Amino acid sequence: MTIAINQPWGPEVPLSRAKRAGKLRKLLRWWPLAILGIAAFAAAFPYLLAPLNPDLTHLNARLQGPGFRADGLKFLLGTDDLGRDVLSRVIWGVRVSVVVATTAVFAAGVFGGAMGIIAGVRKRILGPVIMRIADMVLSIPFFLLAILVVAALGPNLRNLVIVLALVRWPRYARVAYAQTLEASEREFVRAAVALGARQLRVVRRHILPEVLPALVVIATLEVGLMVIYEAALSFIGLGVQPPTPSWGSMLSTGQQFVASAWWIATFPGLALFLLVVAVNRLGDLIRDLLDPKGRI
Amino acid sequence: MTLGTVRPTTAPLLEMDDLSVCVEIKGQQELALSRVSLSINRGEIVGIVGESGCGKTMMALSIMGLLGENSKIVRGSIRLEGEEISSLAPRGLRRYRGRRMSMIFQEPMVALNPLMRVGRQVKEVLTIHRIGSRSDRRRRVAELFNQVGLSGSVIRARQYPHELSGGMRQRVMIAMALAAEPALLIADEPTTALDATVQAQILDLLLEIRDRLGTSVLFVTHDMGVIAEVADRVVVMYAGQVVEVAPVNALFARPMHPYTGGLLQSITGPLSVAKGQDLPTIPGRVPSLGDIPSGCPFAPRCLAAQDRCIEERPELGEVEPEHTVACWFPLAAPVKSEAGGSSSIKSDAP
Repeated sequence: MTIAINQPWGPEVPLSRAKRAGKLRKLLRWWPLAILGIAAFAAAFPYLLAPLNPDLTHLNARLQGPGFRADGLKFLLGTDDLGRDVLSRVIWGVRVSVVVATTAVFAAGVFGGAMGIIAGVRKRILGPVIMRIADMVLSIPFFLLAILVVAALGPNLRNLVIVLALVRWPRYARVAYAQTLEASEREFVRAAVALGARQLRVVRRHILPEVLPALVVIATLEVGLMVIYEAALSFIGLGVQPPTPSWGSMLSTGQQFVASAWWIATFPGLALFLLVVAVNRLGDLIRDLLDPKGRI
Repeated sequence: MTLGTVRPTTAPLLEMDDLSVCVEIKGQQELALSRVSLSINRGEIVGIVGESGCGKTMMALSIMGLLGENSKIVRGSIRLEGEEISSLAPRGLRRYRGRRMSMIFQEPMVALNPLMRVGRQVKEVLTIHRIGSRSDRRRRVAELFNQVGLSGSVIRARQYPHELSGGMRQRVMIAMALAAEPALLIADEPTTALDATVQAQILDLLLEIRDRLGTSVLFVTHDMGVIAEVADRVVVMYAGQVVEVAPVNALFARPMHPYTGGLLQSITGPLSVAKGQDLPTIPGRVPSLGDIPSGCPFAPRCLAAQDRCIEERPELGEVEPEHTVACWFPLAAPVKSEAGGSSSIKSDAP
């Protein structure tokens, strides 16, 4: 067998089969986008996808297995203990997961990033204070802090986001801090100072562009974790309150019936698994793009 | 804004008087610059030479107020156009930086932001100092690019630093430094990282800028050849002290300090050394900050050192008009191959 090499000066060689397969494989690496696309669509328009009203109870069709039909309705993934359609609830449940995870990541990223940059620029007093607070937050057990905040503010969607942001901002702060210190040592930052730029301008023009890619990488890796944390909080009843469908609370209900009605916990669990794997995989791909040297 | 009006005075543009800078190393205060005095006139190019670690860059940074957090000025004054700047807070100093004095750095590769188009980086300086309107600034950037010899200024301005060669990048740096028409340009080894031919072009550019704009230049280098090319006056530094100051011709014709003599002998060139002969070097190396000798700092390496050199530190004294040297036994004649042959001429310094 001869190996054909495409050379600009040589005769045009058609793409070999191996090369085409390689291209396909490259494209297929982006499968998480497909899953996330579906999830985003479901979060935006759940009523287009869900076959039934997720909150409507069918008391004559409680705890029925997948594929159950009654009154001309089909429950593809079965019903829960109140006779609600599991499939519709799983579809509507995406909404809470996606909204909470993205807003929490955004809030934590913006706050943590700002704190880290401030700490990196004000090295004398404010910086160490911020970073020690960050260390302290990291040392508080997550559930303890969550219970405290929810107990103080009450359980709802907004407070769920606050809790998650409060717990996770130090991670962004540490990365932003390290990147800011590194960037401040760069010669062009010193040159900007030597030409009369004030600190705010230096940060905006020269430091922020260095810090931002690192924050984006962390953020994409954090989204999956936020999905799980949201589910965990809803599972123990500190998150979204019933009857709003959320995967965490569905898992919590399903747990009581695992032996008799496995489908109640299994399908939201699967959905959770798929979403988190897709998000994390996408995070890895984005990191490969933004941080090819693996510095973060 | 137009060119800053040149005040009709003969007073020096920059006066550095008796400046001492301390650096904290492992909890100890070490003197990095010791009682350095220097003056630069308008339109003058002053070269500072010395080996690495002798305080050249430290001096440049203390003028700009860019000393690191571990260093501080402990004594003396720096006056720019008669105004004291060594004691200014960063806020006050900012108005001087870029506007009345600016600096170009050694490595044009890293002194430009890789994420920003070079034209934008030049324009930044104009924005910082609120010079002109938006359209004025764009025009001024093109003008500056032409001024520093970057042809095709419109295309160049839209390029990123990685698309330019080292020499072009250094030209961009110079354009940035000149954007706000400073009276003083500090060039810290601006040609060290460049090829010899590009180096010559950049030196020509600096000379041209001086002639055209009347900008004073403080040129920091360790290369005697570069000094010979551009400087009007030369300050030789050793271990944080000024050891000799002279107009460039006098310095090359009659170096008075044995250290200057050694530096001049170590210049490489096609005819400087006979075939098979070693290049003359100065034995030993610059003392590190903690252990600068209490007498003449150069004494341990000096071939002509005597007891007095080790015991007492010589002060700068004038040996001929405009030529001062800090040495107990200055060289008299142009150096011969036996470096440091002691001389009979004594400085009139105490």
